[in-house]
Amino acid sequence: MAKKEQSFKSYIFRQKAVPYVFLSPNMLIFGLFIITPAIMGVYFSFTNFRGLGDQPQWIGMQNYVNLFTDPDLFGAILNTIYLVAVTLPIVFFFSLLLAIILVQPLRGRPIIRATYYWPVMISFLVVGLIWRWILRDSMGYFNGLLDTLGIGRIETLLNPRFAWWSVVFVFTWSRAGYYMVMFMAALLSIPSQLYEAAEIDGANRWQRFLHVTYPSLRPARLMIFILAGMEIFKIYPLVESFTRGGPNYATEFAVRYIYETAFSYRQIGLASAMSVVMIAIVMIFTLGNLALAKRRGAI
Amino acid sequence: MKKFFVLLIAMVTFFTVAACTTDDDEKVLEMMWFSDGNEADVMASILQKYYRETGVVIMLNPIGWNVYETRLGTMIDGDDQPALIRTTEGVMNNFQDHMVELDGVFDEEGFNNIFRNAAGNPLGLPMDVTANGLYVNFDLLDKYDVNYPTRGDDDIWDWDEFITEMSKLKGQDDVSYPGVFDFQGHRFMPLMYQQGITMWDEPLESMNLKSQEAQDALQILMDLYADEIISKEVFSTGAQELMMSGRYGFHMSGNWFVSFYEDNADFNWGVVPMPTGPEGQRATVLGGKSLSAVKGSGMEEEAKAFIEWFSQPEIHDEFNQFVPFLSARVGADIDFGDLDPVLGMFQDEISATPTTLTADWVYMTQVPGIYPMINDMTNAAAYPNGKSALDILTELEQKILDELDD
Repeated sequence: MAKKEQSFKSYIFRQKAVPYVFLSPNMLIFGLFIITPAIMGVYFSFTNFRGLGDQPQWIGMQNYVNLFTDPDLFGAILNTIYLVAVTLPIVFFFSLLLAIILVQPLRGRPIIRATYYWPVMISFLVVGLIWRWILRDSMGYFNGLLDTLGIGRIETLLNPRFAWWSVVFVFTWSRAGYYMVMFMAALLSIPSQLYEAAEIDGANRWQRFLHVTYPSLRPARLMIFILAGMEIFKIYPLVESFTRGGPNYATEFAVRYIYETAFSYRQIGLASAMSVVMIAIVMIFTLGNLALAKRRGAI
Repeated sequence: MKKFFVLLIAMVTFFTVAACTTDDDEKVLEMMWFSDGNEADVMASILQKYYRETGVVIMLNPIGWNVYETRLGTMIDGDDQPALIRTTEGVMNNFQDHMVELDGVFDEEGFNNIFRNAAGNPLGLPMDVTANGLYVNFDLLDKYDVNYPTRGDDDIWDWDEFITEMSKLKGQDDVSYPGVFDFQGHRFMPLMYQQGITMWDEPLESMNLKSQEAQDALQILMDLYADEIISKEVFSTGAQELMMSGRYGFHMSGNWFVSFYEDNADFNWGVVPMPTGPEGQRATVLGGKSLSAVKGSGMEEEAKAFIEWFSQPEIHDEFNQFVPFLSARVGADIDFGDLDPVLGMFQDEISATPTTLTADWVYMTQVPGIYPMINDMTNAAAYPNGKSALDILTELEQKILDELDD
C-alpha cells in the first residue's frame, strides 16, 4: 500500500515537474537575456551610468525628474504615438484585404502569396536601405523615374512630411505580408457552415463579411492589433537605415531617441529611465486592449 | 565594395592567425580598429611584418566607428578588453582611466599632437594628424567658369567670394547642389577659427559661443543651407557619397578621405584653400589618431613593446605613406607621389592655423557627448525653425556647460 502511495506521489511529482524540465532551457535563456538585462535597466535608471567602463552611482529619481522636463523626449514619444495611430489601421486594413483576396481560389495563388510575404523576410535594416536608395533626394530611383517621365523632381526625404509618411508606407510594405498570413490562418478556420447559413438567409457578400467574417476574426484581430502596435512603438532599425531620424527630427521616434541618448550622448542611466517609461506606455496600450477585448468577450 | 574587401581581409587575417595560434607560448594580442579608408589593409600588412620579426601575433578587430566607443565600453565592463586600440582624442579622453600610460615607451620629442592625462603622461602614440579642407570637382568648376585659388596663391578667397563663385553652379542641369559639408559639427570649427576666435574663453570653464564672431561663423553655415549652396541631404546620406555622383562642386571634409577619393572618384578632383575669415585669417581644426594600450588586458607590456616598435621612423612612415596620412612624427618627409599636392594642401591649412587655436578642439573632446551636441547645432543651422544664430549657439553653450556641471 505504502509503495503504491509513493508511486502515486512520484507520478504526481513527475506530472508537475516534467513541464518545468522541458521549459527550463527556454526559461534559462529568457531569464539570462531578457529578464536580467531588464532588471539591470531598471537599476541603471536610478544611476548616472555612462557605460564607459565606469561604475554607476545611485542618484535616486533624478533621471525620472530630468526626463519629465525634456521636451525633445516628449516630442519623440508624441511622434511615436501619432505613428502608431496612423500606421496601425493602415497595416491592419491592408493585411486583412490581402488575406481576404488571397484565400480566394486565384490562379497562381502560391506565387502571389509568396510575393506579398517576401518583404517580411528582409530585415528592417535592409528594407530601410532599399527604400532610402529608391526615395533619397538627388540620387534616388524615384526622382530619376520622375525625371525620365518629364514630371520633374520632387523633394522626397528632405521634406519632413514626405519622410514621415514614407516611414508609414515602408513599414506597411514590409509588415503587411506577415499579418496577412495570420489573418489568412484565421479566415481559413471559419467554419463554412456559417457562410452557407448566411447565404440561405439571403445575406449578400458585404453582409457575410460584416456579420460572419469580421466577428469570427476577433481573436486574430486582437493579437494583430497588439503585436503590430508594439512593433510600431519599438520602431528603430528601419528608421535608422531609412531616414536616420531626419529630416530635422521629423522621423525621430522614441526608441531612436533613447538609443541616441544612451550611445551618442553617453547617458545610459537617463536612457534606461526613458526605456522604463516606454515599457509602461506599451504595457498600458497592451493591457488596455486586452481589457477592452475581454469586456467585449473577444477573449 | 572596398569596405567589404577590407572587412574580408581583416576577417581572413583574424581567423587565419587565430587558427595558427595553437602554441600555448605564442602571444596573441587583439587590436581594436576603425577605418575611414584603407587603414586596416595597411595595418594588417604591418602586423604581419611584426609577427615575422617577433613571433607575436596581433589580431586586427575592425569595428564600425558609430559603435566603436560603445563596444570598447562593453568590452571593458566585461573584462575582455583589447590590448591595443586605435584612438581619437575623444576616445582617449573618455577612456583615459583605462589607458596605459606610455611615458618612456617612445621618444616624446619626436611626435606632435600627443594626448596626455592630468599627470602629463602620454596615453597614445600619435599616428597621424588630421585637418579639415575643401575638396573640389575640377571638371564641374571649370565647366561653369568657377574661379578658385590654388596652392601657393597669395590671394585666397573669403567666404563672400566663395559663395559668389560657387553660386555659378546653382540651377545647372548636371549639378544637384554647388556643394556639400559633412554633417558633423566638427566642420564648423574652422569657420569659428577663421573668425579669429576659439570655442573656449577659459578651457572647460567659460565659452565664446555667444560672441559676435561665433554668431558670424554660424551665420555663414546657416546662409549656405538657406541659399541652397550646400545640400541638406547629408543628414541622411554621406557627403562623400553625394560628391562621388559628380553632381556637386565642393565637399568640406578632412584629409582622412584622400584615399577614398583616390579610389572612387571618376572626375578630376583636388583640394583648394578654404575661404578665409574677415581679416584674411586661414584656419583649420587639428586632430589626429593615436595608438593606445588598454589596462587590464593582461598584455600591457606586449602592447607597449608593439607601440615602441611602431614608433620607429621607418614603420611609422610606412603606415602614413600607404594610407596616406599626414604624419604626426616630427621631421617626417614622406613621398606621397601623385598625392603630394593634395596632402600638401592640408599641411598648408595646418601651418596657416595659429597655434593659439589648435588646442581648442582638444578641450572640446573632453566634454562627454560633445559630438551629438555640435551635430545638433549643425542640424539647427540647416533647419533653424525661426531661431537665430545666437539662439542656436546659446543652446549649445548651455548644453556644454550643463554637461560639465554634471
